[in-house]
Amino acid sequence: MKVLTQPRTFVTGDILAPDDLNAVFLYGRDVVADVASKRWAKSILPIQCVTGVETPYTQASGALLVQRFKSSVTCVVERAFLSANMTSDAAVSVAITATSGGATPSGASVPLLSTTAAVTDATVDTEDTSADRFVLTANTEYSLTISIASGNFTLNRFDVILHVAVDRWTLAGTTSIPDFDPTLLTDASARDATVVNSNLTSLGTAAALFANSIGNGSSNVGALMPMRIQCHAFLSGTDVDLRTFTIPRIKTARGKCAIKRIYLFADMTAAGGVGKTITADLQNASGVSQASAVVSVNGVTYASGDTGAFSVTLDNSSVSAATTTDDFKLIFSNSDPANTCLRAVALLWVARG
Amino acid sequence: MTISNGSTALKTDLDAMISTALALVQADNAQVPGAYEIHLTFPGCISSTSSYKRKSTFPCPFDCYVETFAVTAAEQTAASTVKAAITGDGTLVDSLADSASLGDEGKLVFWPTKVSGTAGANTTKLARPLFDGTRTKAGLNFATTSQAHRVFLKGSTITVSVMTSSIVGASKIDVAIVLREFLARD
Repeated sequence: MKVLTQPRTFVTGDILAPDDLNAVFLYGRDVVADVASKRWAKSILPIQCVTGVETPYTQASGALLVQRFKSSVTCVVERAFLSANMTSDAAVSVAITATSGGATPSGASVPLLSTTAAVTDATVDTEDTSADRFVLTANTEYSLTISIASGNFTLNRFDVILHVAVDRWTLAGTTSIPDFDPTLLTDASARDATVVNSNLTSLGTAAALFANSIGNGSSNVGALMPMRIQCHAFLSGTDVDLRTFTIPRIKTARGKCAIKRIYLFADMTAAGGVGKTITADLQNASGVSQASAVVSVNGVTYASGDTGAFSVTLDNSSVSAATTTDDFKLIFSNSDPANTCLRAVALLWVARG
Repeated sequence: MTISNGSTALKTDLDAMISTALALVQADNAQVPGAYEIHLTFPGCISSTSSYKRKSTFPCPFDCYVETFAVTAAEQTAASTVKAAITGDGTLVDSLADSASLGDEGKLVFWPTKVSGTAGANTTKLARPLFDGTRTKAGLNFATTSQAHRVFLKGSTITVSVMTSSIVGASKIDVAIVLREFLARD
């Protein structure tokens, strides 16, 4: 990591030349512009709507399969992909809408993805690509809906992959990228302390935005990226090993990161009873809970919720290279011994800094 | 810190005024590389499961370093073996672990990982090098320079495949991939 140092060293007793001050200001301008332009955190969000080793998802005409997700920050979907093994009587489509109100995000086609025609051979990969670029609003739940116009479909494997980009400056609460445009001094204008102070104030203001962008500042934000973990078909008595997922920590001395929030989505076989819940519990290696998302399924077959904001450091420069003794784990649980949770999806948002 | 017209501007005053700002920008720049994880879950996979049912495919939107490839297998038949592999067109071969390859002929297979002895338990196998910004010298010998080649290239299609010799249906295989990338510029 190259240390940023000013290009001129001042010497007490020397005559202060405008060139010396200008060189320092111009260096600051270039450094701010260079680092600020490193802006977008891009990530891959694979949504396994149906995995091949589950019972194939079969539906009659007009029936739907819905997957839901939510971001705590505004993000941009830059590409979407369909990768599936399936059969169908007609084209199967994927649409994205806001769960509440059903609005399609501006810029997203309807459908977003499609097989375009009937699919006859499940052993052949079915694929589609969307180059639509659209914004997902923070704290808004979106639904991916898989449907067929007529006839039936059987999904053996159905992955929708989103390429998600997050602008770290949006998260830092700024409306523009940090910028420093100094007023340069001239021999004719002499060394005006007012100009010097004004330049340095502007530089300091821009630099302060960087402190927030890496999560060390007062706003404690960073560019967020999603991590999706899903658990299938479980009851209260389901073996805990089947409900436990290892989250490897990031072995790094750079690139600090932390889990900031967990959204939980649960689909049930039937509406749950009073007091019935689905839980996703983030634990450290010792089994100590770090954060827990709990949703009530009382009277509903689908429920969603989240942990609220928290911060659990995911990086660890000394974590074991080959064992999981320092890693985190996410454990799902269903309080009901008889009502199967068909699928629980935890969407963890991981921030830099 | 401010200076005044008519007063003497000391070296320490002038240096301090800009070094504080540069330190903030530098601290940010040091954190520019970021990491996150992808999890792909394959519940109920058994030895006879068709290959197209035990894979997941996705395109990569950026050049990134594959820091960790972890495979967790739970409730497999005693003494069964679970294997997982990543293929990616255009990526180079990593010679870690055993050399089993799974499907997708014609593509290069790297980082196959095997998990054994997972009866009645969660067992994870992973490899996790330290990423501290130190450059690994790339060479022709993959056995000694493998870390330099654990990359997904922008635009490549990545396929993760799993396989097990277990015959127990109530089981689970989870693949976690830790990716590290740099913030994209406008």
